[in-house]
Amino acid sequence: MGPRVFILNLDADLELGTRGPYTPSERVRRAAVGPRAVIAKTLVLEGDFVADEATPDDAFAGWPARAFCPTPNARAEARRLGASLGDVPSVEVLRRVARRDFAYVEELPGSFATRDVAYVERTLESSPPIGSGWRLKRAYGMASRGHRVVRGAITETDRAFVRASTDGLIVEPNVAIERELGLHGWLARDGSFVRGGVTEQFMDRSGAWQKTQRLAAGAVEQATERALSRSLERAAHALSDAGYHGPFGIDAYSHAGGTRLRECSEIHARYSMGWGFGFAGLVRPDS
Amino acid sequence: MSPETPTNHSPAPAPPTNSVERWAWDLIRGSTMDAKLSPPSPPPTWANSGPLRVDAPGRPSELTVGAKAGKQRGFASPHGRARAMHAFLHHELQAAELFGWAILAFPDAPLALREGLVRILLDEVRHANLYADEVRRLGFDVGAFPVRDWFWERVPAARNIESFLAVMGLGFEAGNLDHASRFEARFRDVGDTRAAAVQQLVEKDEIAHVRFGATWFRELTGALDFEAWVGALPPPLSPMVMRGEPMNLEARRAAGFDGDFLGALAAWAPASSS
Repeated sequence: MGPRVFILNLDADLELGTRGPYTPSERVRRAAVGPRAVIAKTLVLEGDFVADEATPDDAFAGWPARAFCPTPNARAEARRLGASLGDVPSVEVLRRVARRDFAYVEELPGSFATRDVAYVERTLESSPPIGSGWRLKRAYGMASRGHRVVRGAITETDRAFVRASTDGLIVEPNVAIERELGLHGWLARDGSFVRGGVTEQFMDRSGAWQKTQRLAAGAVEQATERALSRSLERAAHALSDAGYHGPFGIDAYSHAGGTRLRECSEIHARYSMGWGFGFAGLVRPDS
Repeated sequence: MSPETPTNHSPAPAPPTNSVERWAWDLIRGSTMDAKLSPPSPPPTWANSGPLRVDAPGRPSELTVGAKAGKQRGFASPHGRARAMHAFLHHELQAAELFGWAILAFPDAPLALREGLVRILLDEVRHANLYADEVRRLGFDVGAFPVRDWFWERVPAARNIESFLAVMGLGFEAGNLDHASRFEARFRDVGDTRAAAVQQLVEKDEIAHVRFGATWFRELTGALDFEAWVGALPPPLSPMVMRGEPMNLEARRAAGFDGDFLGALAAWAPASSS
């Protein structure tokens, strides 16, 4: 395949979680600048172009396009550029698989996903079985966006956060993450998939992404490597059953006080910060 | 414990369309493999109507349901492994249906619990598809071996949601942790690494399912206590059919069982009739 035009809509999860038309806030735009530059270096191959709002209409007429995630806005942008995203999943499928509770596994003791506001509030009044307080995660969002940590007595602000989470919440013990790993893949329409190398993510104290690096073969224990592979395969089956195909990946982490790797803390049904690192030096399945 | 749900023996009316309950009902009553293994996405809304007990599942014409299913042996041959995979496929299919059954039978259960049942149901469907792929990989069709609705013959005796969690989550699914690791070893012994890997994939999910059952059993009854668990099992079920030999203690601990519970389970023996 020849060169492609990339649409790096890093706010895809926020768009998919919005009912009706979505326009990113200035804050979201600013937050995307740094990660976007990294993605542009790692995801985009020689000869590819990255389009932005300043790119003229029909500048890429007839070109194949790739989007970070083919959301409605990304589709509109591809049309504006005259490019084609080709065979991508429906928006309905994307909305379903972008939810944080999609194929969610209650790996941490006391964790659950629900829309039951009363039950969440009752849970927050109790102590978690492990960790320090509870971490709430809204149904849509990337990295730590849409998270809230509740420690001690639940406040009115906590309650307001819960009640405003109309698409549901994941409730988990708030654990101290020691090491965050990722594995990425490309899922074909027939359910088969290829995988990249293991990556490690580094976050700041707020959970915002700092950097990603590809780990050398053998840099993680065999048991960890097997667990990550198993987790990626599980995600591939779940995504394929839901009608998704394209780039995907999983995050996993070890945490203080935990003896086992948390094998799947997130499923990404899209490209991600680590995807290009994971496939660096390998045959790119998306080219 | 919550009050027992009255049994409704009249033909079950279909729940309202576009509800989670109707989605579960359609999966249970569906009579094609497609309806069973490729269900649509669950709708976001709940009907929250009264309890509804489905008496029996729909069965695709490909499946030959009998009073007996064959023993699992002869794993050195593709035929023996395919027969085992086919049996596991039917176990997962029944599990998916029975989680749907519980969604319909216990509408008074907390919403968070019922939402978890939906997620587990979807996991079970995914497992059934994994096993169906294995049956085909080994050169056979789904339906090539007779099946038995063993779980359907027992689980609907659950009186209430606590009883259902005791039977499915803490009982059969926990027992499956023991069986899955044993079968994984048997597949590996004959060199079928793919079949072994599938067992591992399923086992990881089952740990989370058992943990879910343990969490909610504790929440609803006050403790994850061995005697309370045994008391919640509907007769004639006993711990005997809910543990494998050997028990997979690591997986069971990861799922939330403590040493006292596991010790009591290992030591349990049927009461003498003398």
